[in-house]
Amino acid sequence: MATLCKNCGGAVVFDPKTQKMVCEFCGGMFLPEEIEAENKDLLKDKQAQSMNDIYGTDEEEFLDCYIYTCNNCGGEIIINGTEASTNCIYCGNSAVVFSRVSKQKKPQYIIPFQVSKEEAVSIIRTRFNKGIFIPKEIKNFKPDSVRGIYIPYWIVDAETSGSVVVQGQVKSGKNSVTRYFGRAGRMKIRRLPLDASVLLSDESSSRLEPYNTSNMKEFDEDYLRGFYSNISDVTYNDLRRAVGKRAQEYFNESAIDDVKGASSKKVISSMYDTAIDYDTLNYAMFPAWFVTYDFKGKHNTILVNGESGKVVCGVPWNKALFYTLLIASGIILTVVFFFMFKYTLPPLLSTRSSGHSSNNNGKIIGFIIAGVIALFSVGIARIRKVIKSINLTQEQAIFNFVKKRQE
Amino acid sequence: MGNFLAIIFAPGLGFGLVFFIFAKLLAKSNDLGDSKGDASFYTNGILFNTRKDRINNSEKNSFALSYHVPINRKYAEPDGLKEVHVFTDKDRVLTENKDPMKNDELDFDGELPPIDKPIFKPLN
Repeated sequence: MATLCKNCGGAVVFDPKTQKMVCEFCGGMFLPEEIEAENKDLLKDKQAQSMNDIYGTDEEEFLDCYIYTCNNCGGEIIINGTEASTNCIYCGNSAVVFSRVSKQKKPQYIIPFQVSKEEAVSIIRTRFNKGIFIPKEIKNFKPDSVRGIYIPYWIVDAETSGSVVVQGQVKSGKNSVTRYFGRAGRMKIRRLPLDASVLLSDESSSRLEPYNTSNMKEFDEDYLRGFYSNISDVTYNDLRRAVGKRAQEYFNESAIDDVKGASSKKVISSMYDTAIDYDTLNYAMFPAWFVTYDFKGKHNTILVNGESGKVVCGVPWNKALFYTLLIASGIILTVVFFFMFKYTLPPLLSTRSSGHSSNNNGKIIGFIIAGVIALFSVGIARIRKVIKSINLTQEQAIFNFVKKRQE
Repeated sequence: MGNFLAIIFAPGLGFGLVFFIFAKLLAKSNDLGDSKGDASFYTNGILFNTRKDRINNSEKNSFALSYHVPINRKYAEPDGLKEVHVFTDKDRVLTENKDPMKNDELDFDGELPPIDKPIFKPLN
């Protein structure tokens, strides 16, 4: 399973900086295509044994794992149902499990890692240093583990037919009125990447986008050396659901953009039909760094796009600093607005009440009350949305995706 | 009256604005990479076949259904519970022209019998 150096027999791994296979012992460098083909053919036939078969536990409630033998040290390599590459816990050699990436399950394309492990950590530190609400302990975080994982993706072409009704506010004299706009048409989607791992949530993986699919190379197992990887385990139902969801988002976005001269636009009624072009469905692996660290006894995960270096994570925030500044600023603005209202409202109200009917007073007060309530509720909703988004990448599922691997 | 209204409005407006600003600051500081590939990455927009800029209330409720055109699929949808795999020639043969949306089996390409010549023998 481990590819050995032609010069010294040491294990070689893929190096993102040089885009070559590098021997960890003598420093020899080779292009992935230079690695002997017969070695790969021989290893394709290597079969795994079910852990349940070996240890005699055939109870279905247990997740079955597979055992391979490391061809470097003879140690047992245990992998779960969807892993395609890992490291031997005994000798540390990278191991690509060929029989798991064969035939229909073998990816067609791969974007090799462009960002090295050191660069990934450095990018995170630079980004963290810019965060005003990031605690000092996190700015100086010590990674618990830094793992390069190739995530399986399906690259999808699809067509969506949709018809939507957009509601919007249009100015009519001094007032604004609600109008409805109908839009129907077709939209083609090209090379949409969708994460093919059940364990990794779509919300998290979609944040790693964009990947530049023009950088995809033909899949070669040697790109996996030194990294972890998973194979696809999603069903057609999962894929259809994910494509349909993204297609609807894009259709609505484009339909809303097409409605001109209206504000507060939203889709209120819709019908869609999305068809995936199965002929052009491509299977690829995209790189990501998963960095884990502990903060106040809780696991946190940071994702870094292994091609572009985009950092994705919600960072625990310094709540004391945040709420102190928020309350202080709130009090200052309250005082400012108090004086502003104190001196501007009475003349406004008295002018109106003397000149026109007292109904005008009610209108002004109603308008201000509505504005204040709207701003207050939108402000609170925004804070809640941000906190929810921050917590998203701290889900246990992501941590499990990273942790359930051999060191 | 003025003071009373100022006491009510000022905290609402002050804290509302502060919540709004601080939500942005918190997102910028701690919610990293909150974006995904938008429509322009993967589509060229919609090719519209219908645009109606003023629709009334009754049409508002029926528009989506009335103007919806289903897509004619080249292949029938694969079994939803099966794991996704790269489409092979075998899959193509198995699923081609089985799409119920196409209703191919309802089309009759052969020659129709003359109207005055019944297909079935009439019962006596």
